[in-house]
Amino acid sequence: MNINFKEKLVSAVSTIPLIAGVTMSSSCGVSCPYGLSCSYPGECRRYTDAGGDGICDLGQTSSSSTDTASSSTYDDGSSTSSTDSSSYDPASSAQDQADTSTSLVDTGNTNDSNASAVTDPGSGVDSSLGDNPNYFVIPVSMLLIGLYLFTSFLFTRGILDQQKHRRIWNILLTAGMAGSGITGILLIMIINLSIKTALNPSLTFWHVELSILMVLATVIHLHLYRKPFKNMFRVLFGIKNNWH
Amino acid sequence: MVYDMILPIIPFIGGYLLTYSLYKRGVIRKSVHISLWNLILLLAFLISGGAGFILTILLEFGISLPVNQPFLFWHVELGVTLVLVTVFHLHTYWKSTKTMFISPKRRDEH
Repeated sequence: MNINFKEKLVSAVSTIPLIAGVTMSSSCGVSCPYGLSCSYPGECRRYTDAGGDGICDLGQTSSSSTDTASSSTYDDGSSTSSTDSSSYDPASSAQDQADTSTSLVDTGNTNDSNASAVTDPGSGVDSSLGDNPNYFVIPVSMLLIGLYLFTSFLFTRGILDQQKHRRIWNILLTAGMAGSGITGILLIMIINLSIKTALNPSLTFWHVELSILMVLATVIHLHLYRKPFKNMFRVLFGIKNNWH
Repeated sequence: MVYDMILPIIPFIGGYLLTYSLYKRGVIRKSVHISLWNLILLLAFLISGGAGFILTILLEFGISLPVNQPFLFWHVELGVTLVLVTVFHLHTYWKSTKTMFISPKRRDEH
């Protein structure tokens, strides 16, 4: 009875990576991963411009739905263009899109503010905090937890031996740690030296993603090596091991 | 904001060299040296990783709090320490680290 329940639980939990993958791919397809509004060729390889206004549609969708502060910066004398941008609807007609692009070109001030928003991708962590980008924390975490449950299942079934199981997670931890550390050090250097490059948002994005991997892989590492972990407290503080 | 690189690096390099030399001279046991640096690694991870995780969650939900900047500062400073102490951790468990990258077949050949 108990084993049957465990089997059901494990099989239910093993579907988590699938759900996470589906969630992640749909959210990737809808909005800009960096929360930017790029001009051609853009910061990533997903540049699409169906409206023909010279700005990536993915960034416009995310910025119009989430960032109301950026639309308020438009309001510097030209109230008509401000209304246009704040009420931007991705499903609007081609005529509306043509109007928006005309206002961007014709109005000097509006065009300048928009150009600065387009060309300035951020100057490191400090400015990127305000961009509200999507880091897929929950899908990536679910994917990793599901993967761990899957490898644990294989280990309990005897398909994977303990050494291989630990090796897989040690490699993932090392990859996460190395990636997170290298990108983090690069970001510190960029911020300390006030270097502004187009790579800053990408570096921040990958730093966060690899850090999620590192944090979860570390928790798993502590679980895999829980005996030496408990010994650490016994050696340093003389605490007897009463945990079971 | 300029991040200090010397403060989270130099004292820890000095501390590691000190405990390593004490262990080599037989003043302290190897287990004490290893456990001490494992504990430092755990604390650096908890502060840096915890602050980073909280910051990411706040970003995801678009929440801006006055503690964001101090969180970010300590996340960065302890993150540098974390990277350094991880290198020490790999040095301590160098034999296990090597087996991670070399397959058992190749190890048997050598």
